[in-house]
Amino acid sequence: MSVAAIELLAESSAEVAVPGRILLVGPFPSTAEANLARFFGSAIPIERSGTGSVGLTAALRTARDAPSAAGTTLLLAADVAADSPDTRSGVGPTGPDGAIAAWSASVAGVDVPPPIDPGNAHGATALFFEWHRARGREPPERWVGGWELPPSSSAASAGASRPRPTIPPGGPVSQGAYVPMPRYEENLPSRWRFAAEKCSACGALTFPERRRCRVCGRSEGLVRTYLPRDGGLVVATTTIGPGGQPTEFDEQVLGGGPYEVILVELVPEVRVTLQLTDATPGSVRIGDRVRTSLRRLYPMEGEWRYGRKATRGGPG
Amino acid sequence: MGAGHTRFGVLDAGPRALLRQAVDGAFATVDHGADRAAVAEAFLATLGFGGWQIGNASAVLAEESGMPGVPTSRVENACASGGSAIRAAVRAVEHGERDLVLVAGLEKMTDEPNARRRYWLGVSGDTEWERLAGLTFAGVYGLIASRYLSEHHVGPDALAEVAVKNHENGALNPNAQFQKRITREDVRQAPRVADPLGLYDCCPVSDGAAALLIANPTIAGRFTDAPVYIDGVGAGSDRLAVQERPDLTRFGATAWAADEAFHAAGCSHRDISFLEVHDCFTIAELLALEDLGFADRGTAGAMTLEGATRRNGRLPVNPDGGLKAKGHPIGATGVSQAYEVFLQLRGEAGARQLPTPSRALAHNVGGAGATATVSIFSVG
Repeated sequence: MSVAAIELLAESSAEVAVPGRILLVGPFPSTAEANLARFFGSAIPIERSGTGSVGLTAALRTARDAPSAAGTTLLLAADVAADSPDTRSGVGPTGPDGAIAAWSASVAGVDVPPPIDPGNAHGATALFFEWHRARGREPPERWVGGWELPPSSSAASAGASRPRPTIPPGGPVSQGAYVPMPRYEENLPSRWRFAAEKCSACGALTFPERRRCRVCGRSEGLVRTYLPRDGGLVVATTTIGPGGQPTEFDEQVLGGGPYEVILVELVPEVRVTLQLTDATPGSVRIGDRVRTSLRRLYPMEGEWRYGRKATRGGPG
Repeated sequence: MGAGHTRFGVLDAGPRALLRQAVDGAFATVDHGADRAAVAEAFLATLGFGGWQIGNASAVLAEESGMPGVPTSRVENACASGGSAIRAAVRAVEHGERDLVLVAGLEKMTDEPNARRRYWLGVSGDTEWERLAGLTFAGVYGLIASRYLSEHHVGPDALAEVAVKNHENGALNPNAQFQKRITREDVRQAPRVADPLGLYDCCPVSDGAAALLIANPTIAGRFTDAPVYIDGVGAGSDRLAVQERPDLTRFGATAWAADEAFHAAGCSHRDISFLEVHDCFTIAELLALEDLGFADRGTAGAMTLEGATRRNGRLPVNPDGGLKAKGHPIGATGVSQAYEVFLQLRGEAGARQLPTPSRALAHNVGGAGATATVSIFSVG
């Protein structure tokens, strides 16, 4: 089993089990162990495996060579520099901003899991939060110190860090476009894994999942299928300038200037609207290929919501 | 048989005053006069922008119209609320339920603080997948425009010309928000809002109201000797999210609405003298010409650049300035289009009067094509 933990989490399904062991790579705060125990509701052996690419390599070795007797190993890595050897060799977290990454190594010790989507340091909060909810439990009432990591020095020195807006306590609450947490969660399989429904009667794909075929209207015989996340075709583009953004994106425009939103065709006639990230607005054109990755989308109810964004490049 | 209209723009008047003005204006145009007590039902078209009175707003219409006790409903289809309310009124009359019906459209938008305005500007699009990817309607239409220009190898001048033409018309409309001419260069140089769309490609945020009195044709003679007839109405809908539609540069809702309206009216495209179309963004006017069947796919830009849609062209489009120059108080827009048709067909449009139009088509779109209505009118 080499499925990335982030994917298991994104699946939001009951098959996700409490890991037998957790390995931490990176400058997680001292509250991390306590929070993880709260999160999973039980004391799990947690080992810190250093920081950076050295720590990552050590953790990967541990996962492979000394499998946990108690089950899956969950490896959490944060703030690993984009230019680390592991990144270049394709086994570590990628992304320009020293990303958070998480994946599991099985008890059988599959050598090296595939690199998974870079998010950012804040991603840890959301992923554990979602995992917790997926298992039908309320999150702990109070977090100890939070999950937030200090700013990534390696990313800052690489000049690749984007301004990260912070959410003021209690706000902002959108009055015009409001998605309560349960409604956001309802769509997570489509949002995170591009889950779609194939109609066994007419063959059409419905995305996001609507429990009803968008072409023939049938609600029976819909089979879940996953659309590609590693590449899509740009079919439309727009650069949103100041004043063109919904209020939820005010801070993004104020902090980072105009941003690009593109319509990406994942398979013929199935499209998704994505923000372009880690690239200059206007730098992709209709007909280009893009990849997608899990990122922070927008704040609501005092939390960040996560979903996919587009990054440049992708398989031919 | 009667039509009223406030000025559109940044107005001091609040929503109640706007309704009063528009409804009083409609009664004032009834040639032989009409008794308010004769109105059997009233429909209010409004989005409820800003949340001032989303629930039960139609009761306010009854109050401000001086029609205590009249049955009222609010009709909401975003920017197509006005057209949808007209359609509801026509159905009520057509089925013989009512002899005289009032339709009013209203939106009060400009007194909202800037941030709240932008909360509200995107509420009629898909929230979860499009708005929360960072798009308001300008952004959604920006995507559509990028696709249209690329797919049909059309240059940005075609978009700019829509704005230039509509501003030219708006300059002759005393109710218009913008009464100044602009050049293609102005449009190109304007700040980018949702590239390829700039500020001058977008309709403004506006206050305003419009009202119509619709009577059963068999009794119209009691009220006027020059009635304007509603020959047919049609409506359609489409996937709410643009990303879920197979074709980005065609609004199926418009095409279905047009089919229904032409069928009901029993006339053809050649019979139409002029159009009022929903040009919330310049690209929308090009789509409308094609989806309504007045231009082949990809040719509306050339048609516009040739001048065919100017007031002196072979098919004038938006002689009142359109949403672009006249303004777009959301719920009022569809009713305002019918007001322009009323004036033009009766020869009362003043400086912008077209020579002897006999039939007109009005086209009203909700959001980025999720809903649409088409109405066909004639005179004499």
